[in-house]
Amino acid sequence: MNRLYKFFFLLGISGAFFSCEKEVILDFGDEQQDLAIFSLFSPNDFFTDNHNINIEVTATQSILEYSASNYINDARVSVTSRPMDGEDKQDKEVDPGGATVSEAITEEAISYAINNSDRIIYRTDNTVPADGYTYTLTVEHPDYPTVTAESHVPNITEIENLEVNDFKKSKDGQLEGTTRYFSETSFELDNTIDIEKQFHLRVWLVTDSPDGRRPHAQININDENLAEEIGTDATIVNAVNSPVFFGAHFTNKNFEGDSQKLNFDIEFAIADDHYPSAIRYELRSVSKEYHNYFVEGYRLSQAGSNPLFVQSNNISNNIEGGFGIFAGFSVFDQEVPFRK
Amino acid sequence: MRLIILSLLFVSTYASCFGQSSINKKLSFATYEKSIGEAITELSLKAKVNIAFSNSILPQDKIISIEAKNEAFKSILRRILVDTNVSFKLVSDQVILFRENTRLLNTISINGYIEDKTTGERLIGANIYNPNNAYGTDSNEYGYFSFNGVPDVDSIYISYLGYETQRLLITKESSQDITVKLTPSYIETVVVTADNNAEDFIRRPSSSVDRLDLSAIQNVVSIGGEPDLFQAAYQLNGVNTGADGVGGLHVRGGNLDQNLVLLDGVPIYRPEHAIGILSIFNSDAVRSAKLYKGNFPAKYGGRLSSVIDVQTTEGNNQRVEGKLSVGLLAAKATLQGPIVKNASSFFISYRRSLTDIYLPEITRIVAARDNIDGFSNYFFEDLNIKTNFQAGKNDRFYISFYNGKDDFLNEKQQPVFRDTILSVNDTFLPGSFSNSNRDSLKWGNQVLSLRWNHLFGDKIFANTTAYSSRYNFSSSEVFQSIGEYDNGRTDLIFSERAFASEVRDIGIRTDAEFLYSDRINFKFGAGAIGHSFSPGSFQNGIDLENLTSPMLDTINLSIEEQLNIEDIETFESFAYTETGISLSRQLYFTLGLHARFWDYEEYQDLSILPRISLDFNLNDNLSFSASYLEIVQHLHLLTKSDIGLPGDIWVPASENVLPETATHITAGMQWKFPEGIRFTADVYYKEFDNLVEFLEGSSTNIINALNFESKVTQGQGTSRGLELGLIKEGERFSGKINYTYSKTDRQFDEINNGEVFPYRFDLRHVANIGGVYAINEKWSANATWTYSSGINLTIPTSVYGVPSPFPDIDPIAIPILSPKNAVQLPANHRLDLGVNYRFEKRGFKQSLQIGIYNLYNSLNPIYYRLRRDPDNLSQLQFASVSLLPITPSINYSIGF
Repeated sequence: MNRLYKFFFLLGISGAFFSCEKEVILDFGDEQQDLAIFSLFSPNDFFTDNHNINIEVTATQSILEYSASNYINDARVSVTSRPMDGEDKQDKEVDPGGATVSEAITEEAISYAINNSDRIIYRTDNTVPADGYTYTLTVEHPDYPTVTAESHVPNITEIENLEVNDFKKSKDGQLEGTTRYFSETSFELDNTIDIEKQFHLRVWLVTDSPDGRRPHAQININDENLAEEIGTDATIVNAVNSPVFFGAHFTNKNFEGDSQKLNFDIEFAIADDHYPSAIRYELRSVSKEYHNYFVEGYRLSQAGSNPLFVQSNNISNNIEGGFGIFAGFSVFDQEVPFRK
Repeated sequence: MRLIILSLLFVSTYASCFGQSSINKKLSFATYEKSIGEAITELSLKAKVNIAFSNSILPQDKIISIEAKNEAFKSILRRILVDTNVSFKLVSDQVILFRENTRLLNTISINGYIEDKTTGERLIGANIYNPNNAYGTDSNEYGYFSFNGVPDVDSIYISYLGYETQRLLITKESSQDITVKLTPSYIETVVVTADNNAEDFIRRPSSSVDRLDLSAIQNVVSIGGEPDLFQAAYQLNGVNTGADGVGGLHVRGGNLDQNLVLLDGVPIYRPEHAIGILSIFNSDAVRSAKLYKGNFPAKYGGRLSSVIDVQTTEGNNQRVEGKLSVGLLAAKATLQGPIVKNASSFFISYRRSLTDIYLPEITRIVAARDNIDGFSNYFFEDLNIKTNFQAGKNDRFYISFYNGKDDFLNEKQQPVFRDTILSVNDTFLPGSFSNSNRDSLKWGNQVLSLRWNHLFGDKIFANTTAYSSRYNFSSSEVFQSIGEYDNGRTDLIFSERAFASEVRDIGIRTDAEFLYSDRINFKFGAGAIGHSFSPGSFQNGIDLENLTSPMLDTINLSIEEQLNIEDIETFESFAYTETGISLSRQLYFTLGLHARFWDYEEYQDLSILPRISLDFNLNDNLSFSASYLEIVQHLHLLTKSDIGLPGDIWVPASENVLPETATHITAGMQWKFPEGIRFTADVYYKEFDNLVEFLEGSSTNIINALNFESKVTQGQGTSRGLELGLIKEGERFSGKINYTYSKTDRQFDEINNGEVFPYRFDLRHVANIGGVYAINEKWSANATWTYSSGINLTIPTSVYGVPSPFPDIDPIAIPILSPKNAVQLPANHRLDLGVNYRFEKRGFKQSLQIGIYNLYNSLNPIYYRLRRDPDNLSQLQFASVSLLPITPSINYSIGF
């Protein structure tokens, strides 16, 4: 929509009257650069190797100088944990002495090729996230304000009575050599334990690759029915629209403590010779910080940035003194063989 | 039957070019042993000042002698009238004598209609006043007036801006219905004036109300030569907008959706074409327009910040008239005439923009510079149809229809380009790529209304309106990217989005007026509206890899069919009463109550809202007014831009998104000076509650009927301001200097960390200086200079990346924004100059307006945007974007 408005305005109206642009130098005062954290941790995430806590530390940059990678590789990063009842549970493997704040956790630079730059991840060696613990993150660096954050791993919520109808071929959207499928799905959420929980539902195609079974592509969740059941505060993100934020983000506050049956449609299109082996349903029980960050981050990514048409607001985050997200989650997943 | 004693005396025939100075001028005067009437006649002749009076109000047996040396005219007159209970005042170009207290005299009632003599059109807001006691009334929006309690009087006066003032002789028979036909003045008045113009005699709360004079609109430079109501409104105190009108009307700190825009009494949901530069009101179809910035009459409700009441032309019931006009921006054709002479008429006017003649080619050239094959097109059109007919003495019916449409299309095809992508297994794949997109927006308003005027007896006038109003918007975006790799692999990315929203109203209302006496009047009414909202969106997409033979023509994603919009139905009703009381000749008091009921599913809300105003006239030249009102708004416009984009959607107040409310306090004064000069000053303070804003990052793209409540938050706001005006109105020259100082802010717990932030259209200083000079009967020249502080923006200052869970997908950049609305654009200003030429040839009335908009080519920014440095494409920079540089303005019209 925003791209549309941009053209509408610039080409449609301005063009007719020869509108003009000129560079302006804006003075934002002393631009303080801050640390930005990205760390989502889980005891049982499919993607997390060894289920340790991975922390990526970058620094904010001027909007005029942004590059995809601005990693900080010399920060002092530490994580402590404590049971949610308040008793500290520290990363004893790193600091068996039981200091109030553990020493910096092991730093490992792991390189992925992303825009020809390195991706640097700080990873705990021994601290494995567990349900019912609160984790506190501290990141220090001489050039930036110290940041802290706190989160926990919510208890897992299981999917029950998962039913997936046989996939049907869609009449629309056909491309030669491909087939577009859709199906109806339902499952139940046990909601008797926690009154307030946040969820992130994702559905994947699973293919057999040389590296083993792995989710291959996201499946769109059509929201017409689902939105009625999971509440008006749900945010359902189309996979094509945003692969980072995709899935259904919702809370159980409208379930009123009862178990809830969810019905929704899923659909995908795939080349005829690349049939998946299974459909993978993944229900993340996420912390409030996780939920807010993903929902608002998605909204911001959709809202556009042209200040004529959009008056955006900063999204919330749980990093004291900086930006980003440090949040725990737990995952229940289930695979269903794909039947055409 | 007894004739009222009538001996009106006009004792001077001198040219009327004098003003306040005439009663202040000093002279020597002496008269001996004369009746008061004779003495006044002599004084009038000696001073060359018109004095209008009735002998009936003067003592007949009193003999006086006066000697005055170098004494002011008014002082001498006071000495003549001492102990007579008769006072005087200057009205227009003459001194009028009136009795101070007329309570003991017999009274009669007069009621009827005020019409244009040449067309039979009824005139709105004409003044009817009794010179004997300075009380009066004005005609309503149907030209009707009821004037009760006229004492044994000689005559009443009827005046109207742009028409010759008429004196109506009163007899006992005048209690019957009358129709007063006013003759248009030869020289048109050519400024946008406040309602309390120099002709006003009656006492009415007048601050915070502006009449948008149509002749004024057509006599100043307009964008592309297209006269526009909103462009004229932007010149008024208390009205804020962006450069060149981008952003629409923001009245006294109000949001865009807080303007109640009425077309023949029917609410319009999107009164702008494009993005606020032009209104939907075809100036050839508009009969009158009033802007209430505060002090709303009790009949208006449902919007917090202003009322723009536009009445369309009824049609000439005397003869057939036609008019054609063409400018750079649009062309118009109008035809009107009698169906049954004096009883029924029709009016039809069609306007269409001419942009689609040249826009596709211009945009094609612009796109070609970026090596893109594509174009944009845009046009709008407006159709107004109206008819009315008299059904007996007491009934008149009006049928109005309006249909407006905007249509935008953008097509772009990027030619095939070579690139390399990184595949999942970390290998680089070269290939050929092509992108294309097709975007379409359509929106418009449709209004149909039936109105029935009925007279109950001779004191109660009632109008009943049944109407439907509809605003619909739809858009679609289709994007397609094809990658054909050298290794034979083919990828396709195809996405489409559709968005549609619609608002439909069906309503009925009755408004009645009852003039109990010349000092007390009642207005009351009630109505009911059924609202239906249909906000909805749909999006679809496919992302295919490893295709062997894409056949794109086989794609058939019929998005319109899948766009399932769920309706929201609400019901709204209201009732009001308003009493106007002249406590004395100096003091006029209005007390109103407006009750409004809202019903949406489980949520009901009843608001009872007071409206109080007071007008105090210290003397003939100095008056003060004050008002207090509370108001509620049950409709919210969800907008991310504050500038009013067609895709913004209306949603109802609910249990979770409460109705917006406001309290508005105003005070004003007006000071008249000689030579048609007056000075006005108004101050206001306004508090808003339950204002609606999107939560962080929310977007209308993902709004639908089911989820909007969770994507907005509510907060408070305040606005305060000082508005100063200096107006000169004359036969040849009219001018104005307007200045507004205002401050408007907002506070939302969930936005900007809960801290107070300025409203986007919080413009600290706004000034307008303008004038029109009639060179002769055919030629006039005009100039306007405008200045305004820049609007406030939120822009990204920093950024960080959120990594993707997939190694082959770039991190998403999350912008860190400035504090809310913390970046202010530079002030904008411009000078417009123009000349108008009116002439008649072979029976055709013709006019030509030629002007230059933004004469000194001030590049007034409308926003900042991030762009790539043209000299170094790897570098970003901020650029200010301005819309209209020096621009010609031409309009030619011909009529018969």
